[in-house]
Amino acid sequence: MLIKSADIIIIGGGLLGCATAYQLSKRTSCSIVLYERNDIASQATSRAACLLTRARTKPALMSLVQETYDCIAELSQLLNDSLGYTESGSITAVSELQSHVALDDLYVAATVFGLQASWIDGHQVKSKLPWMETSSVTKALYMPTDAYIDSAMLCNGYLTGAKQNGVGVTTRVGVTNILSHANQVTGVELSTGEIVHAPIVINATGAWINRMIYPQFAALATVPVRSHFWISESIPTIFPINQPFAILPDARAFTRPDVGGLIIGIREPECVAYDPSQWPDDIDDVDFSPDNGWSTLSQSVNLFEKYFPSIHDLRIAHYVAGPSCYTPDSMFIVGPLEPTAGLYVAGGCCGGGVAMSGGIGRMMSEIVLGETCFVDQSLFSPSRFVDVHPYSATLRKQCADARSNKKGG
Amino acid sequence: MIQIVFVKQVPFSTKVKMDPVTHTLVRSGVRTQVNPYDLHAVRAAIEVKDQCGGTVVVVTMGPPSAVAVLREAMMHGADEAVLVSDAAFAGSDTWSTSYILSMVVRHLGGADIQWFGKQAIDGDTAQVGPGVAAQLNYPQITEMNQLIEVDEHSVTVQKVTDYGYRVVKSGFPVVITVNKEANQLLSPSLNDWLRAENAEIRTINASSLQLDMSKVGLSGSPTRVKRIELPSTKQDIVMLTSAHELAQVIKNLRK
Repeated sequence: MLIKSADIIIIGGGLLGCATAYQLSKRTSCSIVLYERNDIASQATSRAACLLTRARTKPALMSLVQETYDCIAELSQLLNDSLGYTESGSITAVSELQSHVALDDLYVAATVFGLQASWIDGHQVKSKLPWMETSSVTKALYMPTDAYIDSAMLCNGYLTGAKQNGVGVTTRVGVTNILSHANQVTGVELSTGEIVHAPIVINATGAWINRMIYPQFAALATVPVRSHFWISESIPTIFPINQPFAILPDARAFTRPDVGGLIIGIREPECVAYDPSQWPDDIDDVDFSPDNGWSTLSQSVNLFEKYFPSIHDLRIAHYVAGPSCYTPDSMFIVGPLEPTAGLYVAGGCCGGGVAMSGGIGRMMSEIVLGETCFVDQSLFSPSRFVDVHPYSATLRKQCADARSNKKGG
Repeated sequence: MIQIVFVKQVPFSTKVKMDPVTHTLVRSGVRTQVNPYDLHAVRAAIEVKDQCGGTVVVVTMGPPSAVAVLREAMMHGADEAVLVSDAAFAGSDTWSTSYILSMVVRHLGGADIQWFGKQAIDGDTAQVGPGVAAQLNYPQITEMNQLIEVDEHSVTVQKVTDYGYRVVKSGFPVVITVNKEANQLLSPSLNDWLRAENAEIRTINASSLQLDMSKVGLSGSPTRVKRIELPSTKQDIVMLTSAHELAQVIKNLRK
């Protein structure tokens, strides 16, 4: 049996694992290794809608997003690659009077944070999104510097940057066990049977995060919730790639252009949460919708059709579904997993993993290295939830509701 | 014009299992889809219908769950759907299936064109379309890659041959199998899904078809699968990065 050692082991080659690897590698010369049991960015990362929505009502979240934008700029220069980044701008449009308050709050938070934001009327929305029926729009916020990105390319960008800084990466090898002794992490056991010793292990395994730690260690209050979108046929004249993406809180929907087609995401009134203890090791083996999303679209489309009456006749080329890991309070889980020293977790992305990835990676790095964190880490502390039963129906309901009640993109 | 398109329910994933006793694919509990070639056959039938009018009937043979692929085919424009389902059909090989489907054609009163995908992506035999043509003594055109012309009396297509392409004209009835290059599929809309979802599916069982039951099912199939094994995966691949390394490998092989 070959025995290796490292200073820090990261488990998971998705966005959070790779962003953490990159941010750590910029800050320390420690030996860092990352293990991914499938291929890099092959699971939930490749099924994301990829919106980089800057405006949030919580300043800490805007700081996390800003860090992601900074990483993208840095990596684009370092790798001489755009990473599929498109600065399209965004429009958040509402119709219901009760939605005005939330949009006002968003505007104030964004401008105080220093983001570019302006109010536009229905005619201006129509000029930027000609396909949209805007007669019901009563208020709209335009954010010209919002962008979207190719999440798989961003993930690989983080990892390439990390590798250039010396991080070791092994794919197609899983971690089967996190090892500990006397409440101190000692390393991991790999699917190859090898033991790798390390005093620090970071669990960034997304939908599988509890399966990696529970019941040996404390459980986390997060479960995978179905997140999905539909992609129309390609009609570049109607859906050019530089159109703003749209957030429509009153329709529980968003749209963004995608290589000539339109991505349409609509949240169901009651989202579907999964028991992660029953999940296969590869997301390709999860049947998210036996009818390829049609019945869900049919049941959820009623609020969206006032913005896009042609939705019923629009040809739908693809249905993309994946897990978003939600928490009951819709905030991420980043930090040490007490009481086990050396064990850290980064997960519960709540549908914001792409936009927050760089920020979460930086926060995780600063926590692991004992540095002062650039945001208030207590907001994201794993210990804010107590008495967690990770595979319970109650937690699934709480997490599904968190997604159902989400208003933003 | 009456057209019948035969579609097959195939596994969605390539991660399939074989029954160690019957040596057939384990299909229960496996996510399925319409055989991709068959959707091009449906599209070809719709293109003919656009020019000549008439009705496109989509037919599948399988368990009750195969209704899903009929609805999927209807989303792509078929007018009617027929499920051919009976426990006695389980395990039918391509010869037996061809016999059953030929009796379905007779039961439905025949059609001008019977369409098939070139082959199914699970069995990959490409035998059932030609088998049905043989059972019915109809002319057959395999591997159509272009629909050139059609009217009420004949159809002219380009087909792939071992040596290139051939243009073939046939009267009706005829059996045609279709390549993916034959046409461009159109994505369905929500309205297409709703129409298919609400469509009535007719079911035919063995007793409706006046079959010789000694020719159907596993026992009626002449094919005998003695053993199935997975192809070995080549794990010992070495990627060469230069001509020098290649020269070294050749030198070593000659020793």
